[in-house]
Amino acid sequence: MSAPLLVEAEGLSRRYQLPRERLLTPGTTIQALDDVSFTLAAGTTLGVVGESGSGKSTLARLVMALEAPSAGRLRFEGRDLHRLAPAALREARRDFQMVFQDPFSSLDPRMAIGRTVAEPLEKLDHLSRAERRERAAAMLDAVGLNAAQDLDKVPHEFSGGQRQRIAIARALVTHPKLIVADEPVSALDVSVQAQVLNLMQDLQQRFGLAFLFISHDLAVAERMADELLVLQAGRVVERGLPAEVLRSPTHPYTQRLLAALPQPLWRAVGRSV
Amino acid sequence: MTALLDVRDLRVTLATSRGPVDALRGVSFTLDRGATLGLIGESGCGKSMTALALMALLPDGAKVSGSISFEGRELTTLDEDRLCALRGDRIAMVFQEPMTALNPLHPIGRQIAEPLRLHRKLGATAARAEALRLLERVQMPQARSRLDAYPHQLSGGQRQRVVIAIALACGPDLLIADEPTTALDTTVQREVLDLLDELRRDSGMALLLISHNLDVMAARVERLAVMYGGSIVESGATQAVFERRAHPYTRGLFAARPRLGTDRQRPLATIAGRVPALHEMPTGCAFADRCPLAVDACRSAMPAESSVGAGHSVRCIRWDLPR
Repeated sequence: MSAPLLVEAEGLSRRYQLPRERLLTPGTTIQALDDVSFTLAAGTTLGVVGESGSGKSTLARLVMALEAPSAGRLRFEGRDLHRLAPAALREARRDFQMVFQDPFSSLDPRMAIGRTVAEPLEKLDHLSRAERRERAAAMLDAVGLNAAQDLDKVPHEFSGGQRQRIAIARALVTHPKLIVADEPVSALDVSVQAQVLNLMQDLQQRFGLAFLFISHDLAVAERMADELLVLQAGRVVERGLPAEVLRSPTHPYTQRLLAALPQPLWRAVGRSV
Repeated sequence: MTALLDVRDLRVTLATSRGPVDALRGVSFTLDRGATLGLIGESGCGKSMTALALMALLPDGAKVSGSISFEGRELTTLDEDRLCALRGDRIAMVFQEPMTALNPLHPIGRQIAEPLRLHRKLGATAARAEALRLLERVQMPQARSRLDAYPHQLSGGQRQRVVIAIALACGPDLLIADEPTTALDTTVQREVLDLLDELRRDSGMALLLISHNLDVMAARVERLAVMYGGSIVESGATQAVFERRAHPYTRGLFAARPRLGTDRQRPLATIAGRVPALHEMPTGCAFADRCPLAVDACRSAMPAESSVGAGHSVRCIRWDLPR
């Protein structure tokens, strides 16, 4: 039996109007996302790859309901997120959380990490401060930090990899069903990147999480994703099982992305050099 | 023939709020005219600090010992005026972030012309003509009309081409490129690296390429130095280092890299722990606390260099254990 659908996106589009440069002519319109459809089942990972400007981050913002689509529909567990009343949307937000690229700017530098991790709970549940702290501690332990020692430290006392673990703990503290991860390991060192990717796979198993995993790194996306979308200029140009898309890409853009990889990776996919 | 650049036992001590810390702990390497050397390692390993030391751009309060000999001249004791004459002329640098390396308020033509006016004393017209030639040389599309463009009007890849044009303006003998493509998309990254290769072959300048990306190194440099904790832990011909991986850290770095076509059910190999912060750097091998092979002797003193093969050396006392 296949897992129930968590996210259904139908013809998602997003246009931005640039400010006008002349008084009487309207500014140019940019189609950041153009007719993107996909489904994401509970507990699975959809990988999104493409270069800067391809619409990856716009897609993340729409799925997180931080912006409304210009056209199309986004359903989360059957409900159209962009039609929910503000209070209902706020309540729904516990089910989808985000992890950002740069753990140096995504954490408040002056806030103890225990509070940072507990913060999403403040507006959601009527938990006491002590209960929130307890939940934050449990999450910090779950991501491999030592809550007993670390709860009252501030971000600069941690390395990049540890900060990204803190950001993940914060995203998990509401027990979401979906994590939107926008380039979650691209700011990390290689040895630490592997630790965080392993952690994300473990957490997925343990909590039955779904990921919308955005990356410009094809090898990272292949490792994480059950299904892959290749975005170019706001459009899906190719989709399918990661191994198939990356082994025999049919779209010239995907071929170009693969061709741009330095040689050793090519050997790993069994291509002739 | 003496090497273009000969760095011997370079040590840099930084003044921090926690007291003095050793950012470089005895770095030695040489680079011949027209040759390429890659410095690879993770954040905090001393790659960029090495570049800054070569450019004499270390932060205030930094103490340098050891020797940096460039074309036979000792740089560590050179006065600021003479350093200024070298920087941007004989030694040039390309930085990671082309957005912050350029001045947003000046047209790019003027920024490319600046080193020519300063070092070559060219007049405005001659410098502008030369700037155009350089823009064409870095394959900037519509170079002529771009001379008067501002950085924000260019894409990331185009901006990096401008930064390279500035670095090349005076025909340097040594180009230091510190993560020149890390901020760029993969396809643009390849274009920029191809361009650097081509320019280097044409001009005969030496290239010191700094990157954390093993795959970039594999394709672009003849020799490779792996840095960890402020020292070079393994160095040799790129091919030899890739094949032999004598230092446990080099092995860990290779294993942890996600590759296409691997089994996603199997967890990625990781290196336990994390890079030690500068103020907690141990006296012995900096990698010992993360190393599966470490014994007490590793922690008591910094390992001396052992020879692995011709021109290939490693700082590890346990590198030749059977694997």
